[in-house]
Parts: sequence; C-alpha cells; structure tokens
Amino acid sequence: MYTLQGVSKIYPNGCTALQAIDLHLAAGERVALIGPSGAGKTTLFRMLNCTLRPSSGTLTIGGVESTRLYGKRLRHLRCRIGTIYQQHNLVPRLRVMHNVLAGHLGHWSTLRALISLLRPLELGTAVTALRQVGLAEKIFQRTDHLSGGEQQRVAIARTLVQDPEVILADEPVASLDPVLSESVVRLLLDLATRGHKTLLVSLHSVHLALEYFPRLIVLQQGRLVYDGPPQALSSAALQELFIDTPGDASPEAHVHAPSSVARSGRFLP
Amino acid sequence: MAQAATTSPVTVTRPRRARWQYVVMLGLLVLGVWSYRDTGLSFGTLLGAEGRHQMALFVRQMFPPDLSPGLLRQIAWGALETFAISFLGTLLAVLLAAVLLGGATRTLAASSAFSEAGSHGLWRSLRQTLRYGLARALLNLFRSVPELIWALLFILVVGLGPFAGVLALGVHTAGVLGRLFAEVLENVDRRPCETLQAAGANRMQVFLYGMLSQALPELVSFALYRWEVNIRAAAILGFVGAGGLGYYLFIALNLFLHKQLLTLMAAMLVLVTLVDLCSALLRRLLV
Amino acid sequence: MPLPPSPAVAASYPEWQSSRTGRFLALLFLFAVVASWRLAEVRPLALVQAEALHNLFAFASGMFPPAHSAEFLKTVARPVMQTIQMALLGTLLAALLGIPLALLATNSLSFAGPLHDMARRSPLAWVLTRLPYTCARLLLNLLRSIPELVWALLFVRALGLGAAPGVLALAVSYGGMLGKVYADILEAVPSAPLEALQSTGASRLQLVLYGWLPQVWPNMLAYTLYRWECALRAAALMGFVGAGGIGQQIELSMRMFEYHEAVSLIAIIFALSALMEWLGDILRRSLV
Repeated sequence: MYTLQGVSKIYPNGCTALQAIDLHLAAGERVALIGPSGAGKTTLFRMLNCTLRPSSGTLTIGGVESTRLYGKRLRHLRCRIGTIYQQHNLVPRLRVMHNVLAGHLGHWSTLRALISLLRPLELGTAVTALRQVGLAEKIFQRTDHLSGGEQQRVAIARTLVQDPEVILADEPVASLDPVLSESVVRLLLDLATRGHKTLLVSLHSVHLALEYFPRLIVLQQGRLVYDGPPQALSSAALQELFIDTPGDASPEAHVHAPSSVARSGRFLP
Repeated sequence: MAQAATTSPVTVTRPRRARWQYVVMLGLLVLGVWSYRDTGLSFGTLLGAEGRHQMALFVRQMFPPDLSPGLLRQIAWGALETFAISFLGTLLAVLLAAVLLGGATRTLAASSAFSEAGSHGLWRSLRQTLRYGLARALLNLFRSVPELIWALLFILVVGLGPFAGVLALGVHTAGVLGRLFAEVLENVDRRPCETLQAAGANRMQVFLYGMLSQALPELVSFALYRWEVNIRAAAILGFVGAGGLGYYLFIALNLFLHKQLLTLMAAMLVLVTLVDLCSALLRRLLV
Repeated sequence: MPLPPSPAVAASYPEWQSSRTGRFLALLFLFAVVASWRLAEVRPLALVQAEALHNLFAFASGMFPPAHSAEFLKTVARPVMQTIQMALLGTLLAALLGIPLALLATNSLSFAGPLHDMARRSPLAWVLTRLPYTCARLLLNLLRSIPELVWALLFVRALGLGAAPGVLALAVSYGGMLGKVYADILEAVPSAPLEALQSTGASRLQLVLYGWLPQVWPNMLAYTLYRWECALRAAALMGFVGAGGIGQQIELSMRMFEYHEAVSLIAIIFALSALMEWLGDILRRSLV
C-alpha cells in the first residue's frame, strides 16, 4: 500500500522533521507508531495522507508515485485514506451530524454537499456510525458543546462514514482516560480487521502498542530506529528510547538509543 | 464506551429553527425584492445593449486623461489641502473626544471596585454621572449627523473653504471616536488599577497609570483607522464647498470636463493609498 | 519615548536608540500640524466673530420648531422610503459582490498554508494561483478607495438621475469594504478543521461550505449589519448629487435657509439609524 524510500521532509523554516525514512506498509497491516514528542510522527502522517509532499525521496501510495498526484486524482486518493487527528479537527460550529456526514464529501458533488447542509442527506449512515461509537443521541448537537472524548469519537464516526481503505490515527487517544483509550484502540482494530483496512496508529502508551499490534515502528528525531514485532523490543531499550509516562522525560534518554535497540528486530542504521 | 445495542431505537428530537427566524429571512427577501422594483434599478436595462452602450460611451469620453501642467498643479494643491483637512480634522476629533470624555475619567475610575468609600457624597457622584451621561449624549449627536451636513452648517458659520471642512470632520469624528474610546476605557482590566489604588494613588494617577496605559495602543489604532476613513470623507467635502479635491471633481462633472475625471480619480486613489500606507506604518511603529 | 538620559547611559542601552525614531516622528508630526494649519486656512477666531455667531444664532433659532406639518411629512415620506430601500438593496448587492471577491482574495484559499503543500510546483501554477488573488485584492482596494459619493456622481453621469445610480454606488463601494473585511475574517480561520476535511477528499468548494463558512458567518453577518446602518446614512447623502433619497431635500432646505425642515429630516435619519442599529442587534443575536 505504502512504500517510502529515503523520504525526508525539511520545513521552510529549516526544521528537519524526517530524515531518510524507508518504510513499507502492506495492505491490511495493523501497525503502531511510537516516538517522543517532536520525533516527526505528525509529519509522517501528513505525508501518508497526502497533505505534505516529501522534500526528497520517493513516496508511493497504492502503486502511484505521490509526485504525480494532483487535482482530481489526489482527491480520489484522499477519499480512500481516513485520518483521525489528535485534536479532533472537527468544525466547531457545525452540528455533529454534519461533521460526521462530511465523510461523504469525497464522493459527493458540491451541490449535494450544499443541500446536505440544509437538509441532511444519507442521515442513516451517520446514525449507524454514531451508534458504533456510542454517541447516537448527540447527533443534532453542536460539536463544540461536546467533551473532548466525545469529539474524538465523532471524528472516528466520520472516518466510519468515509469507509476508507487506510486508517491513519495520529495520537487518537492522547487526551482520553486509560479505559476510554483502550476501547477506542480496540474499536479501531475491530474496524480494521473487519473491513480489511490498513491501520497505522501513533500512540504514547507502549502498553497498548505491545498488547494489540503485531508490528511496531519507532520514530526518534526524524529517524526510523525500529521496525518489527513489539515483543522483540527489550524493555530496557524501550526505557532508554522513550518515556511512557509524561513528566518523566529526561533528555539523555532520547539521545543514544539506536545502539541498544539494534540488537533486536530489524536494524535500521 | 458501549458498542451501543442496535436494537434500541434512537429517540432524539430534531431541533426546529424557531419559526420566526424563517419569517425574518423571508421578510428580508421580500424587502429586497420590493426595493429592487421600487428604486427603478433594473439589471435588464443596465446590462442590456443600451445600458452597456451608454457606459462604454461614458468611459470612452474619459480617455485620454487631461495631464496638462496647469491641471496637475491645481490637483496637487487640492490633494495637499485634502490631506490637511483630514489630518487636522482627525486631530481635532481626538482632542474634542478627550476633553469631553476627560470629564468622565472620574466616573470611569469610580467603579465599585475602587471608589473611595464614603469620601465623596451621593450628590457629587450623581453630578459626575450626569456629566458623563451628557458628554456621551453630545458625542452621540455629533456622530449621528453625517459630515456633509456638518459641513453645510459650518459653512454657514465660518464661510466657504477648508476650515469648515476641518470643523465638520472634527466634530463628526469626535462623536465616533468618543464612543470607541469610552468602550475601550470601560473594558480595561481593572486589576492593575486596584493594585495602584491599594498602593495609594489618587484617581487621576490611577487613570493615567492604570487605564490609559493599557488602552493607549487601541486608542491610537482607532484614531489611525479614522484618519483612513477621513481622507475619503475629506475628498468629497468639496462638493459643498468645504475645500479639497471634491470641489474640482464637482466642477469637472458639472461642466462635462470628462477628460479631467480620470486624473482627479487617480489623484484621489493615490492620496487614499498614501494615507492608508502611512496609517499602517504608524500603527506598526506605535501600537 | 521621553528624553534619553546622558549619552553614556544611552550608549549602553539599545532601547534608547529607538528614541531617535520617536523624536523624528514627533518633529514630523509638528511639521504636519503647522503645514496643515496653513493649507486648511484654519482661523479659530472666525468661530467667535460677530457674523459667525449671528449666523449660528439664526440657524439655531430657525431650527425650532422642527417642521412636522402633515403636508411636510407627506412630501418627504416617499424620499425617506426610497432612502431605506437604497440602503437595503445597496448592502445586499454589496454583500453579493463582496463574497466572491473575498473568496478570491483569501490567500489561504488559493495558495498559502498547509492545504496547498501538495499543489503543483510549476511556474504556470504559481501564476495561475496568485493572479486571481492579486487581481481581487487590487479590485477591492480600488472599490474601497473611491468615496461612495464619487461613485454616485459617476453613475449619475453614466445612467442619469434617480435612485438606481445611488444603489449601484453603494453596492460598488461597500462591496469593496465588505470584501476586504470578509477576506480578513476568512484568512484568520483556524486551519485544523480544514485540514481534516481536506483529508476526506473534499474539493475546494466543499471545503469552503463545510469548513470556512460555518466558522465565519457570524462575524461576516455582524459586520454586514453594521455596514447596513452606515449605508442608511450614506444613502441619505446620495441625493446631494442627484442619486435619489432624502439628500436632495436636505440640501435644498439648507440652501433655502429652511432650517426647521432640514432639522426634521436629519432627525428622521437619526431615528431610522437608531432603529436599524436596534434591528441589527436583534437579528445578530437571533441568527447566531
């Protein structure tokens, strides 16, 4: 599904977010992404969902090189990729139903989109999606009247409606409590398995990654430093690599990880 | 989080937009259509062959623009005069607003948060509130009468010429600025003022150090914004004889000197853009 | 900045260097005041001369009582109605003109920001995205910079007397003002929800409908209602140049020294303006 070769991203302000990333994601895989803040996770996600273009290297999505994607082709590709953001990124003043139905925008004409704002079309799909996340009764409320956790679930409902082939979730549970986090992760995995979708989730909590995902990717300072089964990663390496509980972060731990990690899993220089 | 049972029906009441909101929207539409028919505006005739021909003819008459040195010199003087009118007018407005509101600083400062309890009688505070109310009412009057009408009035008093324009702009803008200034001053954060008072400052000091210092950037910004508005207003005060480029424009149009129109409009455009740029620059420097 | 301390101290504090700009500005300001004073022929004493006071007194006494005879009111009813219509229609048309221009003049819609990182990088694409933006901005500036009365005069010359040129003048000049403010509001919209919508594959127009408009329309409406109130006052003046409305009557009354009529008309405008403000407040609070 995704092939990255030597992909780097340097922002206009000089900041290097990603350096020489080599990655391959097959269709139907379920992968967890871990890394400390500022490692470049969000940049990677934005590249995978076609919001950012790599500064160098090649990115192939579904067999098509990303540099050849423009206009309508780009739109159709984006339609097949669903993204869940950390900060929900919903339109605050719209009602929940409109935010959820926005998942259809990829294959609705502008006229249908406009009509739907006045009189919601395909409301049934929104109801079903909201039922799956347990928010059916909030369908007519204004989105900014919901709590953070509820808004995150609305964002997931939108992805459900969109029904994409790939689900990219950028820290979807960062602002949720542990119980809710676990159920959201399980929901995403459930969707992915049932629909044969590719799933990439970035997480702060290593426990969730270890428990639920067959493959783990670790990003640190823009570099990919581990790619393989999570069990093969020794706990000492994990401790050095990256801190599980916030507030615990000590700068030294982030610096010299690669040497100890290289022992297990795929070695990435 | 539940995998909600698909069997239980979802009972949600769809919110209905209040009926009278539809009435309002419909009313606006009706008014719009009625206005369209009544004012005699007709896009049919406007954009039809006849209308287009007329407008094309008019535009063609303006080319080539008259660029004779005599005219250019007149226009240059006119532009300088217009600039002067707008500049002094805005200045006068600031002074006038400051003076009228100045009498109200005591009232502004006399919120319950830091009025010196019991040291001034009820009668005195009543007088102050009255003075403030009167000042605000006067400023309201100033701003409700358009500048052009003020200009007519001042022409009666001081005769034709740019001075009437300065006074007209000054008075009208004082009204506008007075209201804006009062709002800004009323919405200032009170806590620094309370601290100052607790440290023993009197009311004028509290006003200067606490309120004015916080409000000054916004006040300056408003004054500069009004200057931008006033340069446009000053340009047309000449229509009624209060000096500036408007006078030449009026003559050109009434004597059918179409070739001068383009030059005059270009001059106005340049003047307005210049003032806008100055205002933006000053805003960046001062605010 | 006030006067700097001794040169020795000033040398060690870079902030005092900026006081040079301050002093330059102050001098420039003084120069501008003096020059303007001469140019504008300011004669404050003229205000208190006998003739001036006499004229003022004549005006003040002529004002009362304001004309309120039934005959007078019947004569001015039609122009007053026309003024209201001009203001309403002018503002509506201005909004219709301003919205598309504003959409073109928003750089985050055309080429700036994270939404456009995947766009083509060819020089042709660069020009094609920036051209409408620059043209729209220039046009908006042009429309705003020419005073509405000047537009009215031009339209009267081109189309003849009546209320139609007045409406067009309002539509054009206010269209420029509304467009500029709309564009500023649109550019200030937070981009996170827009990015999320874009990632579902929405087209640009759908982004505008679902992402921009819901976030900005209260602000846009509020400013439009404010402009409507200003439009009423402007429409009242259109008559000065023959473009319809009550202005012609006001000018006539002033020039014929019928001050009581003029005062009535001004009072009517004042009342209408206050009414508009009140209506606007209600509308704003209900529709938002």
